[in-house]
Amino acid sequence: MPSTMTPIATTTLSSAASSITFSSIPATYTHLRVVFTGLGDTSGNAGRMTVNSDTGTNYSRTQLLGDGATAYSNASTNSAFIGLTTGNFVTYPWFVNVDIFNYTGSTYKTMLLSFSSDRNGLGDVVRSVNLWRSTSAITSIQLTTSGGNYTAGSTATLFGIKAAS
Amino acid sequence: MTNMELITATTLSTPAASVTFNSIPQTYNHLLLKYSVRGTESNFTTGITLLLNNNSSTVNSRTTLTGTGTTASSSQSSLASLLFGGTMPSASNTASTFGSSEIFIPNYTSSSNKPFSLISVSEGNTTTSARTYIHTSAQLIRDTNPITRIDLTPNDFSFEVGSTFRLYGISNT
Repeated sequence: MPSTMTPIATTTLSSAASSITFSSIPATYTHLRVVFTGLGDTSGNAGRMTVNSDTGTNYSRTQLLGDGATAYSNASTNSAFIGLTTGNFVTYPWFVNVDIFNYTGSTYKTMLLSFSSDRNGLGDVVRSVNLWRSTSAITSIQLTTSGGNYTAGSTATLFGIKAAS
Repeated sequence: MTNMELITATTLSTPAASVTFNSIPQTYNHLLLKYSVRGTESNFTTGITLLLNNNSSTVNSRTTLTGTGTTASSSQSSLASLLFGGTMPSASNTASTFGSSEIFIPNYTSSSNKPFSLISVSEGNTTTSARTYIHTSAQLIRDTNPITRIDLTPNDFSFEVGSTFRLYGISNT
């Protein structure tokens, strides 16, 4: 059976940590997918992502959100990171899926992010399109927090997806 | 290295009141269930109930985001005993149209409670809000057992002939 989605790397935290990094990402795939499940340890903080260690204001997004009571949409420009989670990321496990299209291409990079968190009476369903305004190929991905850590057991996997074999 | 593998596929040749995936191998890290379905109920849409491990006593909850082409809404359901498996077009909806749904369950063999996501869509070239929809939800099943069985059941009547179901296993290594 031809390969469809190939795992490149997996990190499962053995102790709490403020970041997970995927580096030296091979340029042999067409798209990337990050699957990240876990918990934060400090309420009020949120998960973030950057690529190629770029912390300049080169990210933007448009998102659609539902919190169990209200559905709304908003946009953010000239941000220094991609928001992975809402601030409600402690106590109940959540997960994030980020699809990064044509990550080696010479155009700006579009990403589709889904964040799913249900907390039994509250919750967040977030679907967003994100843009990294760089024509460089993506060679590393950083999963960080705005404060505090990801707890032990949090797991992030990077997959490579080929267009055709 | 093959990472995403088809575990099993079903295409209905007769209407079915439910579809079951049993004895799910525990050798993957994540599960991806994709289904293209239509209902036999004389209605525009029919809801689908999802059951994991044939256990209706677990306490589950979900947060849903829905669009109908005219309205966006969000809802929350807590302490529910049944999980939401999406919505499908039914017999009164646009002809020859099946809805598409996808459930992704990460770490389905873990000993933790399990969050998962659902997206369920149907488009029938209509502006009638009762016929077209996008549902996406975050759901939490508070069951620390590995998932070994999945059941999908229409809330009324059956899945129509031609409905297809495919269960994939995804490995981290």
